[in-house]
Amino acid sequence: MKNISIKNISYFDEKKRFLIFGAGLFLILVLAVYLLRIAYARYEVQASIYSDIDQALYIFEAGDMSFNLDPEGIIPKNGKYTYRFSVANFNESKTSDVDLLYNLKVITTTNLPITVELYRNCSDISNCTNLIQGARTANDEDGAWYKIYNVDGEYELDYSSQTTDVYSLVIEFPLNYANDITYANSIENIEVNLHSEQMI
Amino acid sequence: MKDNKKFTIVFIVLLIVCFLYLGASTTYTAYESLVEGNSKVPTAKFKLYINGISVTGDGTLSDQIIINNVTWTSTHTRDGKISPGSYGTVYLELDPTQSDVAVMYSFQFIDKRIDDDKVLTFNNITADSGIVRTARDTYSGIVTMDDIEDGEKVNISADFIFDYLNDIVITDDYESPSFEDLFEIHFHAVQYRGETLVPYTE
Repeated sequence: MKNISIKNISYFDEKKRFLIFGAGLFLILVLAVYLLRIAYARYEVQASIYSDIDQALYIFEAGDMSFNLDPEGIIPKNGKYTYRFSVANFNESKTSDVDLLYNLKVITTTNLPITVELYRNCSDISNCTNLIQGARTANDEDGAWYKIYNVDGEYELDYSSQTTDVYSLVIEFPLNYANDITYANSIENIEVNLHSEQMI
Repeated sequence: MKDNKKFTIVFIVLLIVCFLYLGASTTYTAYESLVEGNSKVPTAKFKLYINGISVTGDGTLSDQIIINNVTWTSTHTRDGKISPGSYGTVYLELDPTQSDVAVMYSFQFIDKRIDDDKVLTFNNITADSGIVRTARDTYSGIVTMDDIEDGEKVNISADFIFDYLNDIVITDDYESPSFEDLFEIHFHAVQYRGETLVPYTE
């Protein structure tokens, strides 16, 4: 008898019952969520906390640092060529808030037989000491040769005052090379490498 | 077969009841009258202050708080400025004493270890007893009604360092970080309903 009863349920009835059951379940879930939301409503707040601490400015300005010496710009002579550049701890509007330490390195290509001297805050080089203490030659990955001049010491720029250090880069291209056509079309590149860091 | 029919009918009736319950307020048009009265329902206040600044709104809700309870030490740096190598402490005081409900709160300390865009790193968090570390960067606590009636405030201090182990290379397009980049402490509080704080284990 039980088997007959089950068989008498049409496919349509069974599908309808399934749909009703599904819809009911869905509504019960909606109702549960609705009721739970009421039960668990509560005060809540969130905020992001910051502090507006002033950060120190780091200002290290370098001026007039381009020294490409081409044949028209430099010729062998008895005198010396002087190029000036400067470093400072301030710009047009602001001063560095930290003490700075910096050092220098002069790197030249080896195309011209020049000698290089460097002076700091010197108005008359005959009364000043050349900062360059020796040089070494090195080549890069492409095989190009460079001469690296070591500049002794580190220099300090205090935040307490606006300071500018003026450097004189003195190049000598001796007159005895005047008749040597080997260097006639050579260009010498001189790079002054400045590295500064905050004093800790 | 009869049982099945009965079941279906009962079920449908149940559904109709559910519908009626949920939709009673909107389904039917009804006569309505409005009577103004002077009855006052005392609502519990939820008032929290951090370092004296309201986070629960006195007029406007403060979802971004700028605090100045910070001390720091910097060497070779102009007074009042912070620079790589500086170290200091952020002090937080949560004042729940004007609240009428118990509070469960958390402070999440978002520093360089959590967000690489941040500048400062918190290296030591000191808190009142009862505050539980509930996540690697989060400290939580509960203020009971007894605590509120006793006028207890919550104090947390966080030591920080402007890490200089990794040099900050200043290039031409370098821009100083804004104050939002220093650190962020995310505060979250809810009315306490008897939950238990689970301590964080590494």
